[in-house]
Amino acid sequence: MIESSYALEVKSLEVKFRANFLSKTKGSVLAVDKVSFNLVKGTTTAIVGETGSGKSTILKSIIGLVKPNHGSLLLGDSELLNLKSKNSKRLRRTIQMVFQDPSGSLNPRMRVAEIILEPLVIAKLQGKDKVARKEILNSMLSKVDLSIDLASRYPHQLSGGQKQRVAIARALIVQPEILLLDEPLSALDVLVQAQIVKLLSQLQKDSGLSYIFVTHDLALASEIANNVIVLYLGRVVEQGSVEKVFANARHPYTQALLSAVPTTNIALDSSNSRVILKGDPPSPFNPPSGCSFRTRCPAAIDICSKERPKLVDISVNQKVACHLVVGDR
Amino acid sequence: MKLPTKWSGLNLRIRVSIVMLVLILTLAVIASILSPYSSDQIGVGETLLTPSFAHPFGLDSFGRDQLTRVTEGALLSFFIGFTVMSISLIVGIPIGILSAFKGGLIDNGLSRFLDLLFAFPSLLLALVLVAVIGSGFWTALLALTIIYIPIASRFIRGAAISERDRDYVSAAKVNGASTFRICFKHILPNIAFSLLVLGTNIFAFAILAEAALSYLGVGAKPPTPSLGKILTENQGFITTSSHLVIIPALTLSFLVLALNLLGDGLRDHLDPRKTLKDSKMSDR
Amino acid sequence: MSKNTQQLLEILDLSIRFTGTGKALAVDHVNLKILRGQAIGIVGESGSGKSTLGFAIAGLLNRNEVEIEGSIFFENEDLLQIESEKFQRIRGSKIGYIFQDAASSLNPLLTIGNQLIQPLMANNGEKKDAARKIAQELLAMVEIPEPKKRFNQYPHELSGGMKQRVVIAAALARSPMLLIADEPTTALDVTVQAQIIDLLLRLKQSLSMSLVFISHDIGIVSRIADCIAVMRNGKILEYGPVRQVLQEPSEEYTKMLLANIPKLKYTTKSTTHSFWGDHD
Repeated sequence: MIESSYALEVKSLEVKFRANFLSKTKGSVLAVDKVSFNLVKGTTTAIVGETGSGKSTILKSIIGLVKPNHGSLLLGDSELLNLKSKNSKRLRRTIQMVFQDPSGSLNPRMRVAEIILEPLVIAKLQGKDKVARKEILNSMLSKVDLSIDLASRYPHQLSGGQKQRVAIARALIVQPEILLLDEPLSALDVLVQAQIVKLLSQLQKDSGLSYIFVTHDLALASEIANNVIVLYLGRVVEQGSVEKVFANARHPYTQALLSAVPTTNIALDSSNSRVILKGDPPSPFNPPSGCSFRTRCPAAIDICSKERPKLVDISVNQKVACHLVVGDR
Repeated sequence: MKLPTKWSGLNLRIRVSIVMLVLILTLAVIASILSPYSSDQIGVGETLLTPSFAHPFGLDSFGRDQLTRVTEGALLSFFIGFTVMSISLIVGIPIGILSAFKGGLIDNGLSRFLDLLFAFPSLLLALVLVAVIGSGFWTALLALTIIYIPIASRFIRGAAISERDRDYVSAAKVNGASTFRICFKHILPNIAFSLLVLGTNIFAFAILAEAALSYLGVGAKPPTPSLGKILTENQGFITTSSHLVIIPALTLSFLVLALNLLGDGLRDHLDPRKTLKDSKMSDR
Repeated sequence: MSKNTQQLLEILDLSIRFTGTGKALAVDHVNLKILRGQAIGIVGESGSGKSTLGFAIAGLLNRNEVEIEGSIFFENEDLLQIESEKFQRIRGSKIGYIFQDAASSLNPLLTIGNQLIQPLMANNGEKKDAARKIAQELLAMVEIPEPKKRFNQYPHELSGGMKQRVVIAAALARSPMLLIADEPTTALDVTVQAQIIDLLLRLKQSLSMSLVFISHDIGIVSRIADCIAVMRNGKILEYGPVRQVLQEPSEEYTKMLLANIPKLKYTTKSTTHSFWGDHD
């Protein structure tokens, strides 16, 4: 059997949140609306979008913190979403996650050593052999460039960058193939961010890890990702290789996003070419009919309010969902 | 955040209150052991004797040695406070944490049930129980336990809720940690300090509540020297032999004050340290 | 001390230490000049002292907790030498301040309208109707959609971007000559950020207001500022016009910062044109 070159295949993922029946807002939100993509082994796919785009929800569905309503997640040839519990534990271990806030993702009452080793303990790997565990711990610490004497410290005694390294070590200790990263850099200073990016990139080279990287920072996405998915209110508006999408963005929202990115490149950044989107995103409980972006789109036409645009290939490695780009007119 | 193991690591309030509690407990124990009288022994001397060398707290209208009675009363208060606190925490912790963690129907159901219990004014509930079972020290103990379990559960549930959505809990879930592990290895240690504060509050309230019940005549039966009961018996002598009222009242106040101070001190220890440390963190 | 009427603020040899933190200076012998109508960006990482500097100018430091040396001349008067009451009055009317977290700047229990009216009535002595009118104008000035509706809404009913606009409106209520903004857009989405920056730029123009924009993000700062100050460990390491600092930085630290910021690859000016056209 030919082994798939995809680490993960996400097909038509759908996640619906119903408003609590006791709360004021009624109805439901389609937080993730038919999102599909394939993660090529050893590469990084960036998911970009703003608040309410559903990017974090996608990660949570993949990792199992949220149960999707529809769709499929193919890991090799195993379907993750309908797994019997015996297999699911082992398979789930191949996907790990690094969270956004390093201070919140580490238990303040546990020492670094315990935190990093916990996944092993839970999975009952490496038996009760203390020596073996110590060795693994030390090797993980050195893998993420942390000094061994930090092992006995508590999280509050570490800097932000150090905490995030601990989180990465914890994620990697069970030797996953896929790492989900939910805005792992936003709580860190610029120079520390650069160090962590370097670390992640080295780890990817050394271990062949595949990353799904959620971020709102498009500049970062352009530098570290091979593929990118742009989300608006739970729907994919554009996706493809980073070169294609960033050089030749076809969807008006992608263009607006790119234009809004603050940059130190003076040539690129003259206030003349700034695109300012009007207004705020519509409520996810009540998205506009047809194309959900049409209320802020400068070029919306009739069909945009009637029909939801399909996500279509417009060139190799680039898909767009927009009537104006794709239409036959 | 580690529990401080150094005495100097604790703030003034905690230190003072611990000293107070240790003091009164030690004195009470020593006095109880050394006293040649028993607390219900009547006629050991002239009734209503003012404090003297032989009877440092005087004698009451039955000729009972007050020192013996008050110290035994203090020990009883300790006992009841400790028991009510322990049981309500032991029962409240699993209920509160599981309820918070599981959420959904279990949480809703438990919360409604606890609300029901909570809705009764506690003293009223105690009176009802007494009417059913009959008055007595143990009835009072039972009633207070029943009252404080839902109070403790609710509080613990609230504290657990604020931790359960934290990323470190999600990280544990992602790794397949069992519910038990998450609740007791992750959530519980992080709310432990607030539980300590809760504990001191329940301790203090239970002591006062028992004293109130005894005072009203529905708690300890004579001759049990509960501090509340002593107050009832001696209240008629407040102008003539005021020491008979002042001493038990002071003892009660001292105990409750020490506990409240301890609770305050623990709360102070918990809060400012935490926020100060977090805000000073830089990324170097 | 020059009597230059173009000069609004001059900071001379300002040093600030927080009592009880040993010898470390939060702000270390800082010198800075701000002209009328000029926008200055202060860039630095956490711990650089940029926020402390902002607090000092705005009079938000608790004099019991800090030791300050040096002077802050505002309109040729040293703010550090006058009684704190006078400083408060100047601060209220001539210096505005915007905090990073808009949500916590607004009282969740009062309607937006009330929060804008109250200071107007209390400080300017306006009557309720007049204050209302001014508040409405302010909301229009910050381009809040449906200002009449928003007037009676509570903060939690507004989005992050709108809340920040309200905070800006409140800061502008008394037509300050100097507006200090500490990371006003950090918590906002990228497109909303762009809107707010754009708004601040236009307000600066129309109100001839000076602006001190504090941020860790040199990219955002470069959009709005005329001059940039790079801070580290309490000192201003580098200061100059935006173009110069970005293209020809003289300090190693600045070079390092610039080198380590992610750059938007592949995108060119024409990338955004097909729908949004050429803007002039």
